[in-house]
Amino acid sequence: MNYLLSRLIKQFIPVVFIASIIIFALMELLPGDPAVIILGETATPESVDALREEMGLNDPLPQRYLRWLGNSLTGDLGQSTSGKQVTELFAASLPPTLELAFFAFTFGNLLLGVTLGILAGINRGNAIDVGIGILSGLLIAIPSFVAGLLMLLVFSVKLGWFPSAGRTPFFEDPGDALLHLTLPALALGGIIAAVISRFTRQSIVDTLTHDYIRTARAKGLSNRAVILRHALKPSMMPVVTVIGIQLGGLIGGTIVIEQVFTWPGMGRLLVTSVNARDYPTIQAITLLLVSSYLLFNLLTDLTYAWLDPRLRLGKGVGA
Amino acid sequence: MAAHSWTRSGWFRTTRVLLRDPRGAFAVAVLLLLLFFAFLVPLISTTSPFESVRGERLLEPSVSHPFGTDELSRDLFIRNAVGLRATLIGGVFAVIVGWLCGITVGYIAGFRGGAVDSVVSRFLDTLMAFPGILLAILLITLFGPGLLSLSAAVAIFNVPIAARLARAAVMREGVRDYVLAARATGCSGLRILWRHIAVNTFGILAVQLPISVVSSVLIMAALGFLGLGEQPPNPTLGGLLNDGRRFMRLAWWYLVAPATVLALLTLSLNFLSDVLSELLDPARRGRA
Repeated sequence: MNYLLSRLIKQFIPVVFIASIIIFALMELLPGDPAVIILGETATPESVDALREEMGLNDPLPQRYLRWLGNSLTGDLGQSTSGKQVTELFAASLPPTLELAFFAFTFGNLLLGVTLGILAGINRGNAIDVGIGILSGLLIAIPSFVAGLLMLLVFSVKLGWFPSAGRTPFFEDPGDALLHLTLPALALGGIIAAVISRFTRQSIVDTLTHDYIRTARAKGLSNRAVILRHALKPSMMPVVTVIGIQLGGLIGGTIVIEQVFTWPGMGRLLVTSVNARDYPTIQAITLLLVSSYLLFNLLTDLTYAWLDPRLRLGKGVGA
Repeated sequence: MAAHSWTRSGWFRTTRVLLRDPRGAFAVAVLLLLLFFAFLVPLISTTSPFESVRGERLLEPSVSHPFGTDELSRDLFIRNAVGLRATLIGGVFAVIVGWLCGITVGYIAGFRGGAVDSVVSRFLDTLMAFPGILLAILLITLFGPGLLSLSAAVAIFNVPIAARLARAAVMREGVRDYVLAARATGCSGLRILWRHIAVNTFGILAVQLPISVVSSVLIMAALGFLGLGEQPPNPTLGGLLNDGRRFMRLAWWYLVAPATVLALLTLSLNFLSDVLSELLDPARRGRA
């Protein structure tokens, strides 16, 4: 609990705070008067002034910053230049992104990554290990959006196995939803799978050299029992950290992958807003993405501390 | 200890070991080929990347158009070459500028310590809190789209990465005996930092450098794909990918050509950084 508090007070809150100032400042630096953007170039100076007063744009900077931050924290994300509330746009775009991230994450980590890593680790040095090594090397080296584009070309345009664009909500038609999800989730999850499988492999290889594994073998346990009961859990610790870091990477990845598969999520909303110079929406998306990125980092540290109590005391593992 | 690999014979040995590793040899060969493609082909070729030839719209690859032609009847071979050149120049420029700034900041923070270090570190933490591509998108919103602002955005993305590495390396080297010895002989702080500490941190930085080039080129290409990079008609790899996606039902080569070029580039840079890090980082040596 103390660890959680000190992490929150010393790192999480200050960094979120500074980041929010930067986001606010960036948007202040942008050319163009928001009131003019909403009313159009033909508006009279009087109506612009009136709107500026109404929007509170004439107040001093610190006051506007605090009001913006307060409103954002209480769920009022402001009005998009398209006239809609930003919260409305979020309500439409957030579920698809979460769905995609969830599937990419599960595919990538749990199904592909950990399984491949364990397979490579216990088959160290033979053909299976080498094959998985080459596969993960390719997955890491080829950018996920390029892989996504090529998969799109081969599996949906040429072979017609999967739809090439869009999304079906999962609860309306699960089968069709899965068809739409497969390619983007694979493209997004592929690199995660590769990294996770490498870490899992290395971790299993390291763990298998420990004395207690030799003891377990000496007791006459089968290879299977040694791996499942003794080697697996301690091997997962470094993997958990990497999984956390990958969650952060997913945020950046979705922005581009959503564009590749015309997936109607936050990434597309961001790109559309940048092109439309819809600053309030950009501001809100950035604040959301950055805080969730930091939250993932915090959760990773907490999981790590939970797995290795020495870290809670603030000492390094070597201390 | 790391300094000896920076002498001439060290370079020679590094190159030899690099070429003996199959991944290293592949990486060097492909990179040379890509550099030739990007920098010599546009010089030698008589085809213009902007010229439309009547009746040659969306042609399949052939002898006269090895990569086919696009929707405006332009030759895609030369457009890919010029696009790769733009992406490479932009990416390398971004890495050089970003790393020079980052290393300077990191050296100063690590060497000074105290309040300077605290302020710099919080600032770096905050920059790192933005996922790279998001930071670049924000900066482009601020600067306006274009190759120069894209490079500037990617340079800023590189600053905290280089700064953190340099800071950590200086802090680790700063407590060594040879630094104490240099101080005892009356060297100035700047001289100790540059002549004694900095040279011993280059090895660690060199390992990260190819990774930074990869991620920078990738962000350049990704933002080009999102339409935020160089504006038409100038080609970039990302822009070609974007156009190729639009025409993928009619012309598969339009998308496959830039995708292959980009994949080969990142693949060989990744291999290069893997081999280099095994070579230069003693802790990783022999672990493979």
